[in-house]
Amino acid sequence: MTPGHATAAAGEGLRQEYARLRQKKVRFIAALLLILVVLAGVSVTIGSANLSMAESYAAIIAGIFPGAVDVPEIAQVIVWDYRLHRVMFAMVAGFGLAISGSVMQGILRNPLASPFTLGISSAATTGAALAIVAGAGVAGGEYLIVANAFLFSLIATFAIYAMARYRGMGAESMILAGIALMYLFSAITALLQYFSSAEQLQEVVFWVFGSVDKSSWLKLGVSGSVLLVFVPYLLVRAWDLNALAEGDEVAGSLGVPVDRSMAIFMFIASLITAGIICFTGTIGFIGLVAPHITRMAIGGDHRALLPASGLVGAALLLGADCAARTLIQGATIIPVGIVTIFLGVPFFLYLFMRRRGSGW
Amino acid sequence: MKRRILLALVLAAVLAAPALAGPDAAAIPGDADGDMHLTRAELAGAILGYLRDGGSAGAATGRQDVQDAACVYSCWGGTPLEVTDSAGRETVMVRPLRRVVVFNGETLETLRSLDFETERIVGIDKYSMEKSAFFPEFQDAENVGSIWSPDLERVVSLRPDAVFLYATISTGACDEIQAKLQSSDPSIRIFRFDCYKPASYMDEVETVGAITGREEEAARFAAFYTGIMDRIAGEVAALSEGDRVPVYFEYYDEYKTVATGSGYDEKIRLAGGRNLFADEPAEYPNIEPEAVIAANPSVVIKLVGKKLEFGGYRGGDAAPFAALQHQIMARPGWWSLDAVQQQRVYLIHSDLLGGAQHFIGTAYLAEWFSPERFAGLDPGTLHRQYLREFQHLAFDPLTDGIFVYP
Amino acid sequence: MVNLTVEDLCFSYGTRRVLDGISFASEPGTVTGIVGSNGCGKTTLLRCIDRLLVPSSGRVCIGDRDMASLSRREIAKAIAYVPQTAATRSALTVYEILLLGRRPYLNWSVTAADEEEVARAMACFGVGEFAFRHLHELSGGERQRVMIARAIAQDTGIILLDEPTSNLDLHHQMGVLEVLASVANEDNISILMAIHDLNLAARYCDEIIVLKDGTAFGTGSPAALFTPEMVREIYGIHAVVKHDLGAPYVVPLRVVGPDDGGETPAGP
Repeated sequence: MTPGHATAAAGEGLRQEYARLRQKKVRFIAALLLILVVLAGVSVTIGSANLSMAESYAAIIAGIFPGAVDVPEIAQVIVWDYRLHRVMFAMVAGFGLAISGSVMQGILRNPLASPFTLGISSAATTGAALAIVAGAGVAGGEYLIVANAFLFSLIATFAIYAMARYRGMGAESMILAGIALMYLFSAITALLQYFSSAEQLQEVVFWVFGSVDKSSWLKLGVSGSVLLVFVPYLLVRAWDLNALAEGDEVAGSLGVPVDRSMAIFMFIASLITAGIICFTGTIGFIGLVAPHITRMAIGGDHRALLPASGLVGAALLLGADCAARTLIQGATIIPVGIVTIFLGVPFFLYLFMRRRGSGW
Repeated sequence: MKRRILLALVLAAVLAAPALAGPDAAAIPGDADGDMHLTRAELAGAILGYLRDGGSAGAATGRQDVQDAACVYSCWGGTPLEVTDSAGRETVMVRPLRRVVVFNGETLETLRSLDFETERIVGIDKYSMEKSAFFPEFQDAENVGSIWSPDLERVVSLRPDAVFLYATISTGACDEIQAKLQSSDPSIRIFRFDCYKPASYMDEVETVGAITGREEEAARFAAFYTGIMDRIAGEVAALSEGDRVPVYFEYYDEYKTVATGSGYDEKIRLAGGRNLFADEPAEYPNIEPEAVIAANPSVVIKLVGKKLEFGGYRGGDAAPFAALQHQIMARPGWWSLDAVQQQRVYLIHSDLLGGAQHFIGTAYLAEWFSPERFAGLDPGTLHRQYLREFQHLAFDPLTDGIFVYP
Repeated sequence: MVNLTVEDLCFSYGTRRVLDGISFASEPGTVTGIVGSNGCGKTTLLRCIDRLLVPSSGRVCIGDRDMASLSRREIAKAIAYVPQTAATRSALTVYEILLLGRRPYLNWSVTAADEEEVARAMACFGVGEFAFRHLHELSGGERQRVMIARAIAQDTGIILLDEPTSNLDLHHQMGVLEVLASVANEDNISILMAIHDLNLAARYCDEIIVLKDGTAFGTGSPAALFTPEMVREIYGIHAVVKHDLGAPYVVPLRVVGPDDGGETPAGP
């Protein structure tokens, strides 16, 4: 050891460099917030009803402060009952899926981990398909489908947890259990599709594609509350996620109760996912790709990675939804799950080819 | 080398076997000189031969052959019947239909309209089988699956002499069924009809009438059908594009509509409506909800049945219809629509609009689009007449089931 | 700084007994080497001491506090552990990995004290020059130094290391052990490491524990323990041990054959 001025100076240099990187992360998050605000601002003005931008914003203001501005009542209905919750729901869904993808990739130390690859999305689809084929397509049965989808994604989580627990809760065993479950649930869905009528098939296909078409204030409230409860908890424990991402032994020796934390994080990530995909169907790509994009940009410290990947996911899904609503002439909407993939894959591959310094 | 020759011989024998076995599928039974014309003398010879041998096992002509020969002579003047189905395939018929498998529920309904003998239909598709209220007399027929997952083994074991498939939809699946059946038994005649399209339905009725020897029944049904459709077309022809009623048609799913190319769009046009979303790029597009408000339809039509499983031939009460109509009218902002303000939100069961009964559904649409113009049309009574006279069902659509609301 | 005491420690994987009645104590400021053949229980012993594995019986105490009564975070403030199989990839930079060593003390934000501690650990192991690189961009030796530096940054009274020199060339082996010995000495830290190289162990360790099939074959100073008999018993090797260089050093000769007698033959 050679303490002294040289060391102190070197330490100061490192500290400045680290502060500079921290600034970069802050700027990245700020830029994302800005993009998101602009995207949201644009997307509330997009729609077949052809409201002008001024009308759209006046309608928003009129909804918050009744009587403050003079707008046609129908404009207010269109903005408040059809657009706003959809825009916000797309953001909440993208945010939640990306965050749970980040958490899963972190604790399982596997870049392929996501709600989709762990079989949680497939389970939700199976749950929905079961309800559809069992005849829940009747008006009012929608909530039965949602509840069943939610239930099945939790069943998948517990099954992965139980199997991994039995084998000693290694990250690899969780991923293997998840992949096995994904195949199992996909097979069940395929079997259900085989026995379903043409109309039921269409409904199941909606689930397989994923879309935010069925959003509502109530659904936004449910998904949003789940995020409000759990995201702060995840942020508070960001250092523990960092430690778990370095390995079970390292995390344990750094004071993280490994088994319990893994279970809690898995459960929370699944709950966030379930609270979203039970309304949207399988939007698989966001949870996989948003964390990677973010990691490439600002590195793997979960304190910044979690919120930033959430924002990337929100921007991706909202952007995809804008595209889904406007790409095709007329009023037709393409399922957003498909657009997400069309937009996300080239972007992702571009980043991937350009730089591979994410550490993964 | 020797082995290869042997193999070739075996192959040749195998390939030749079906041609050698059994009666010649392409020849008229009893046509002794093989000139594809059954003369009075040839028929007499066949009958005498049958009577002489007493139908013994080794006889040249069996009982079935004599019956078929008599039929060919009396119905078709002793010559084969050449027919062209809706897929443009020509079939030379040398025998009448005796054992028929139907994969196409609309054709099954059409066969019943033509009073084709029930006992000659030996197998039907699974969806028709499930409609036990509408097809009660076929519950003892064999279930041959659907076109998507056909039970071909069962089809072949039924030894059918004709199989009916769709002509212009699900062509891939139907082509495959056709190819497989004809390779296993070339004598099976395949007929491809749709029987649900207004543009081609009357031609199909005529052809099916000829195939089944039910020309008179076909003509009678055609008169009934065209009477209704011509009346509607006559009134609608006078409408300019601007006179047509703007319509929003909603499929089973919320905000899923129909566009040009779909059957429902065609019927909206036939009935004098203007489909507000006809120009969307997909045939069954999902649309932005606010687009309906912006388009402001004068009439809203909601399709029920199948996925929204109530009404139709299974009977039931009006409560779910009323609930659904109320729910639709209460959608956010829909109070601004002309259709809601004028209480012109109608529900119709897919049985009346999708299949062979589309003319009844079209009549309902026409009445809803311009009630004053079609005041005396009375689609409900037409429906009842169709079921009683042509379908021979003891089902009264005005009391036993709900097909439209209100 | 406080003593580490291990009393009658036993551990079993299922029915297989891996550690059987291990007892020893480690004073602050000393380096203790754990030697023994592959599979003798070195890693298990370290993991039991850090309570990553829960012993079947026996106690591990820091001072007068039983480890069983401490929370994970309290243990992490007392003991740092460097596993043998370190990650080769991480999404974190080296600087962040060292900051992670401060996890037992951190709430959310990093304080100046934490960064100072990191800078000190970096200086010890010359890690600063690649502070903002990723693990996969480093050599095996550099990675190993990062992992040890993290343990230093954890600022504990006890550091456990599992084969800290296994990936390093001779220069770096000695460099790392040199620094560890001086850290133990100057900061009055108790260092416990599993190590294969008997000669390095003899040179840098104050105390040695020889493990054989989960039991303590012997404890004591390297000079007392490193004998030709011990080497033959533990490794099945004929060797001579020289004492003319300050620390004893072992010169292996040949593998013990099936018909060898009890006597070690004289060296060449």
